[in-house]
Amino acid sequence: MPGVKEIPQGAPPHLELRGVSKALGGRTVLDHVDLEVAKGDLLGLLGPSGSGKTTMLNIIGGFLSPDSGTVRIAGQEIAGLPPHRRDIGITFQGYALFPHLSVFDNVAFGLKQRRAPKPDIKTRVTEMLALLGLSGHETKLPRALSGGEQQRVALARALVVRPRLMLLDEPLANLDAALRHRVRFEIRAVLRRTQVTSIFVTHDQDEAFALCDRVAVLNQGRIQQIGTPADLILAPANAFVAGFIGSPNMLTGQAISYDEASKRATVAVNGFTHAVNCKTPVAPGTPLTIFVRPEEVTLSPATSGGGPFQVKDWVYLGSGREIWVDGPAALRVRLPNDAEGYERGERVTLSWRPERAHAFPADAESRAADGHDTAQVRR
Amino acid sequence: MSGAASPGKAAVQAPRRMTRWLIVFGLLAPALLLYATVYLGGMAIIGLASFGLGPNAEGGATLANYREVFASAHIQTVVLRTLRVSAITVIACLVLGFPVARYITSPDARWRSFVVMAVLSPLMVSAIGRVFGWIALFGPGSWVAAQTMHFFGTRATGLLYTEAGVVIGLTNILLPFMVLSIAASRANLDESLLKAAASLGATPTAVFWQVELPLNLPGILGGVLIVFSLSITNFATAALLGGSGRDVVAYEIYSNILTYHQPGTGTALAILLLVCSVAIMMLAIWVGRRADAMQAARAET
Amino acid sequence: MSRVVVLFSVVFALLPGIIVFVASFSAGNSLAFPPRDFTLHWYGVILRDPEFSSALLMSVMLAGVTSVVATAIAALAALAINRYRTPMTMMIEAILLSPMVVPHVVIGIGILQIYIIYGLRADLMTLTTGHLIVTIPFALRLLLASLAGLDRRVEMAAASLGATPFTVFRSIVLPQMKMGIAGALVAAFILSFDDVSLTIFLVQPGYTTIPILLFNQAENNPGPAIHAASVVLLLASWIAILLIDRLMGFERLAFASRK
Repeated sequence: MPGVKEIPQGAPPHLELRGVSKALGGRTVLDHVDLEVAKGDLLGLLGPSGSGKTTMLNIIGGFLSPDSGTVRIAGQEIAGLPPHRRDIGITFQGYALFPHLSVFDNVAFGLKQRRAPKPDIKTRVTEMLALLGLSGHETKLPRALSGGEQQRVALARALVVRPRLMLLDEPLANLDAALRHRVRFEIRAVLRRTQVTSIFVTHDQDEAFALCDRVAVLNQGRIQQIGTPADLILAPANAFVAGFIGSPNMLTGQAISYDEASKRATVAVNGFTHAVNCKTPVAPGTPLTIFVRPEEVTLSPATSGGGPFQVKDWVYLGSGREIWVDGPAALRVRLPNDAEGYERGERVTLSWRPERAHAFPADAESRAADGHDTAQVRR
Repeated sequence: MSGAASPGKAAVQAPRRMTRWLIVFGLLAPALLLYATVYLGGMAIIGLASFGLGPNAEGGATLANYREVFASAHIQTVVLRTLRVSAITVIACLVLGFPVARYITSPDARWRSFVVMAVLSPLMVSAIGRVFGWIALFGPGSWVAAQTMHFFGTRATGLLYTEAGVVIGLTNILLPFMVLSIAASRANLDESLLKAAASLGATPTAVFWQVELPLNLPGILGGVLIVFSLSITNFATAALLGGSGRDVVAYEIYSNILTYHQPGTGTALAILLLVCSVAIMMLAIWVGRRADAMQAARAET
Repeated sequence: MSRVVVLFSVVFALLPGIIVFVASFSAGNSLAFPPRDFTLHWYGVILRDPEFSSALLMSVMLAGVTSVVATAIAALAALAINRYRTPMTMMIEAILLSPMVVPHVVIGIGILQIYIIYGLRADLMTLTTGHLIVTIPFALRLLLASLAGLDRRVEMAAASLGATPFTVFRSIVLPQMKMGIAGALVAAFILSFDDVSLTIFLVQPGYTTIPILLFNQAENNPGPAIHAASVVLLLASWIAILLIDRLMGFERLAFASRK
């Protein structure tokens, strides 16, 4: 499995967006977006609904033209090219299969447009259907297929023409939960095997992390951060990313002190003090928003019975036991399923590794709150 | 639009927008040409003629034709008859149409598709063909004629050439419009509202009058307006079942222009009928739009 | 109680057609119902009647040409209106649909005046032109409904696979409009085939259609043969209804063409 691909010095990126902006109906949907994708890379485009993902996809696909900025593929500006001359494979939300054509004709459609010889079409379509486990469905109409099968036909149809770029718009959104897990790995395997440069659009971070080498987080028409899943989780660039990834606890407090060398701040949340990561230097007294994920928090029974926090309730969530504590702040704490103790009313103290909690000056609070809400709703 | 667009891109886009509009107008051209020459042109000429203007007219604009229409006792009788017949037809359509609309929108309608097919068939089944069914049924020598003679002891003409006959014929033709209008408004009706009302202690009668009927009101109002409008403009059915001496407005226009060659009053009456029916239809469309908007607002909350 | 009204409405809706059908086999020499004896005599009479057969031919030609031309014109307009929604095209849509709310009698007089001014006489072309005005709105409604149901992403998918705009139209849009086009053809045919209130202003001797023939005979001197002729009209309409029901569901058409 290849790791993160650094874009080689000198070679132009395969896909390059520079300062792309777009307003629709008077609202700025994309705001000076810069994006580079290396050849063969699988990039996730992650963002809440309304963040501009689909608009970006429509601009790359040629269905919308940007108000300003450039879009290049392999160094060539493609702004003037109509969609049918861009050679970009797209799978659409809801699949957009041709309802009146058989599975075979759906997949053969792009090859026919390219005037491929008949025998060639037959071999390539048959191969592609076999690759996706669709052999035997050739003569069926799309509506006779299950959701998962339709999804794979859409993928086969886009891949068979060997496009220079693949755009996948929420390819798993219409599948039920069990199927989604399986198809996720099928897609990854097929994209790997065909080595096509791909952009995978989703609002689901688990999907983005499972499928992609790098993930770009989009919000309010701006790219917030691009990086590996680990980058996003361990070093969020701003309050939005910190709040959006991994449904963290959000606390509000003030800086007490700041250490330039380690980039750590000590914060006070209603009298509870702890060290946190803070990239921007902050003066004592600065209001901060602190994000810490439930699984990063450790609990211990309060010595001498007087800890600042108290267990309110707990539930099993399948992946672990979640304890809800209250005190200077309300937090969710994730423990292993077999963790014992911590019954209702128990006094506890809590702690976390300073580098796993991220604080940002609260002037970015409005945006952070947006992301936090979305994360909460999604759960 | 935005100043940020590069000059190169604007150059690419300008001819594209031109081509697009050329395509749009190319696609619309046959329809627009046809409508402009025959339909809109024809109506313009009627409009002008009704004011004494037009290609063969001598003298200036005049309201004489309209004055004549309003002064004529004969036309007054015709208009009153048309309104009376139309009003009764609307009531008949409502009384028959509401239960039918309710049946075809209820979830457990076993004969649904048959009822839909039968009751809506007059939309497409030849109106003129069916008129002769009524003529045979109502006409002299028929069973209905014998019964009416028996009960009322008068002439043995049955219902043919009576206003009652015209109402029956019109109801037969226009019932589908009432059913469609009410059924469409019922399609958005949430069954659970009726159940909620019942669970709160409302009797079936109270559920009907206080919940079901108010929620169906836009559909009913729309149906009433549409049926009324189609009824005042009807020509063939009313003419054949009403017979001579029992004319309705549409037939009056026809005979003024084609039989008596009095285009003046004919065109003035035509314009008045046009204004009335279009106004009523607009009202019906407006009622429908408002109902949709209300529905959308309700769905959002 | 409510079920009784439904049953009554069904009978009421079908009754005149049934009466005409039964009466067309009546051996009696009057229009009265119910008949006493049965015969096929009247069908023989209308088949031998040259006036009837020329009217039938005229009706079929008129409705045939009208339905094809109306559907073609409406299909082009529907594409423009569906694809380019601007205030301008929305206004044009309203104008193109407006003959649905204008009394046919008024449309008829208007067209007649135009023909008089240009000295046009009744023939297949002038009658067709008139019928187009009252059939295009219905065809347009049905075609707009069928276009509104299309998923635009399917066309985007075709474009992304290299299909030119023309190919997208020919191999993706057109096949999906098939049902709408078929529905429009049948609906326009039957509306034209059955029209009285517009045609009566435009016909002249020699170009009479079946409905006009029936209308004139009923006004003057209806004989029993008229039932047999009516049955021809009724059968044509019921065939159309069953066809439409097969193609797109009669109920869908009814709701889509609703004023």
